[in-house]
Amino acid sequence: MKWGINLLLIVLFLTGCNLSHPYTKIDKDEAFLATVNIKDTSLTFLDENYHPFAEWDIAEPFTGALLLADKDTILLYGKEMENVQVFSLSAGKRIKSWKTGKGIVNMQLLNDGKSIVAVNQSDHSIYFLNDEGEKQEIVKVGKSPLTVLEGQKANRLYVINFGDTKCTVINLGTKKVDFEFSIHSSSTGTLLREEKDEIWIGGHGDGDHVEEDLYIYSAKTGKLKEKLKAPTMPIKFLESDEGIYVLSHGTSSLYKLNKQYEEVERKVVGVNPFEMANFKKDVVVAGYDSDEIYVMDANTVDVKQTIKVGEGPFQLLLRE
Amino acid sequence: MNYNWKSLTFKLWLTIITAIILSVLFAYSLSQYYYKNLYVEKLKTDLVHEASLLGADYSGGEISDDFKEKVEWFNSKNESEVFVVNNPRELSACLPFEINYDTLISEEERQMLLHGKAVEKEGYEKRFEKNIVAAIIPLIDDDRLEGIIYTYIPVNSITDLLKEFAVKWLAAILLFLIIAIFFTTKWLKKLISPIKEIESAAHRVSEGDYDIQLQVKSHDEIGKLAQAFNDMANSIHLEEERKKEFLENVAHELRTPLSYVKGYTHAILDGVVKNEEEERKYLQLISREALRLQRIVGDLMDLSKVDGDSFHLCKTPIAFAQFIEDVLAKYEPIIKEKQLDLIFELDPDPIIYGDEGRMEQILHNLIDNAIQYTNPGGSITITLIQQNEQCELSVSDTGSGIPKADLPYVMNRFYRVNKARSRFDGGSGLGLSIVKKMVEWQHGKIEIQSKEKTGTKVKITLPTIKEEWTS
Repeated sequence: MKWGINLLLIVLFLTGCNLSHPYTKIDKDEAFLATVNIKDTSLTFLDENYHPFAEWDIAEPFTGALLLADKDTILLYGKEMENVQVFSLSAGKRIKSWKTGKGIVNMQLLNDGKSIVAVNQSDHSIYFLNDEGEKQEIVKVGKSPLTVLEGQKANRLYVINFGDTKCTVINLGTKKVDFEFSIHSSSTGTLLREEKDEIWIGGHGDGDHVEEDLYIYSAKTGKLKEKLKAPTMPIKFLESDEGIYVLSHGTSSLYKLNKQYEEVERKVVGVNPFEMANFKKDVVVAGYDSDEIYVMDANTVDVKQTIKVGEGPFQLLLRE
Repeated sequence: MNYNWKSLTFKLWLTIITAIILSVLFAYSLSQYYYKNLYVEKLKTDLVHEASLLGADYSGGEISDDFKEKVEWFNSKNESEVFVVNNPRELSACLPFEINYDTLISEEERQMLLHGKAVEKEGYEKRFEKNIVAAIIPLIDDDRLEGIIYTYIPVNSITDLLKEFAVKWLAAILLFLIIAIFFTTKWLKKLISPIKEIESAAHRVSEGDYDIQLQVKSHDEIGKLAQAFNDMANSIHLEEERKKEFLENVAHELRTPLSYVKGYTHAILDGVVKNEEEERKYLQLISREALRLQRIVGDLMDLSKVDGDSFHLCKTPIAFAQFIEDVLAKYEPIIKEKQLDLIFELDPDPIIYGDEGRMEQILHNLIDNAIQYTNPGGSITITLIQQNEQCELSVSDTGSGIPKADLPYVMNRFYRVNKARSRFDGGSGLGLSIVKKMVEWQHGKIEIQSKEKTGTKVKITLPTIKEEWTS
């Protein structure tokens, strides 16, 4: 009986330890590039020289992360998670959790640095949260929303509904749906160019049809303006001074376009890449199947460096 | 099969048939299991091999139309379905995104293929709406899963094959069972018939028919049983004969003295006796015959004792030479009277462990016989010698001897060399058989050597005390 109680105490003690599992602390001043690895649910932190310096193995089925304005707090979310877990990078531990319910597939920090948009696929809506995780507004959108984009000038939020064939545009002032416009199905990957009145939308295709094009719609009216060839399955866009980069995961291709949307470079990069980001002056691509990130020269799109990270890098998180 | 349900034949028949049916069923299930498994496994291996051979032609990069055409051509000539897939959607490439589409391969299969491993499948495939056995091999270029070669065979063809196989099997089994039942029944009948013969023979023996002899046809257990039964019937027959003969002998032996007693008694009672002297003579004769009857009854009692399990010996150590001398001392007057020469040579060493009374009875019997059958002027020689851990006593005479033909039977009950059974010549005919039994009870052996008209020698070997103690 006595040893049973002792065992129980030990278990409780160990469980207690797990609740506040300490991870490698990330210095507040250190710039990093982190990969969200969804196969082994971990975060791999790389420094400015792309040296992995920390690995956070999270015991939650999270699929994405969001760095808040303080540059120290990160939110981990996942469709199967009941709560959004809030971690402090400098403390190297979880500090709280926000009860949001299951279904969160994406989170975005709005330009005001306080409001957070959470995309809920379970109830097909957008939650507007404050910096304490409290729901301020809930806006119903189309089926299975996934990607959101903030139009700062128009003060709008563009919601791409993955399971639908429409894009919902929400007025950020009134938190009401401004208008909706038709888009192609299984859309994902967006680029908003307000000054050009363009919203670029990529996608996977429908059924056994493989998407080969990216679509440029009018950000104001939703009218389809142009289609660009980018085989196959363009799902990530990136704009920099160098040009516009289009990442197609079907053929693991990276296209570099000039201002006239002409292809100037084309490279096969990574294995089934889903994610791309600008870090320092480089273009970084994450290979989902190869568990690697590829550091590329922004101009020539040559791969300069390949770094092994956790399993299934799906998202890149930056702090510069 | 017109057999009793409780009969051994039916039980054996049932056991054999059950064993045959069970064996057949077991063999059938086992063959089905192995047939299916081995066949399916072989199929999978073949499919993987086939796909790998096709995959060997892929040289990297985007999968060309030429390569697809080649595979299509192969497919048109081949029994199994083979096709190339390079649609990333089919290959679960979009899986982190919840695309509403049933991909051809699952996430786990994609991971296996990405590691360069072939995937083997068996079961219902929704895409083809049928059960299949399939093999998938990856077409990998620089870690990228550019496509797959998917090859499959509808499993329905296997079940059809198994059904056909099962029908043939069942027909063969049915035929086999009919033949097996037929031959088993025949064979069992043949096997059991000697037992039935033995049974009826036993019934006949129990009814008193001892002459029955079974024909031994085989040398197996049943043949040996028949032989043993024959031996048993013979023994019972012999024993019965001996019993009959014994009773006849007993009656005969008792009748002679009784006739004397009856005759003389009647003579006295009827007043035939003339004088007192004659009466005394008759009474003496009656007394002698009564003694004779008494001796016969005594011998019979002894015989029944030594034959049964209730024979008790009161064993004590006996200095054998001294013991013989003491017995011989009693005979001195008789020997002298009969003008016989007594020679004895006794080794004083042997000490036996025996019953004094019984030993005396043995000696009396032997010496009585020697005196009785030796004519005046003859001699009786008694020797005792130690032989290792035994001693040998021999009583030999120069008497009439025993004919060679009678020698093997002289120790049988009521056996007499002189068949006339005169009251002056010969005793009850039980003496030697009693001696033999008593010697055997004391772990000894008896042997008789004799030559007609020359003499008889009786040798008794008994264990001496040393051996007795140690045994």
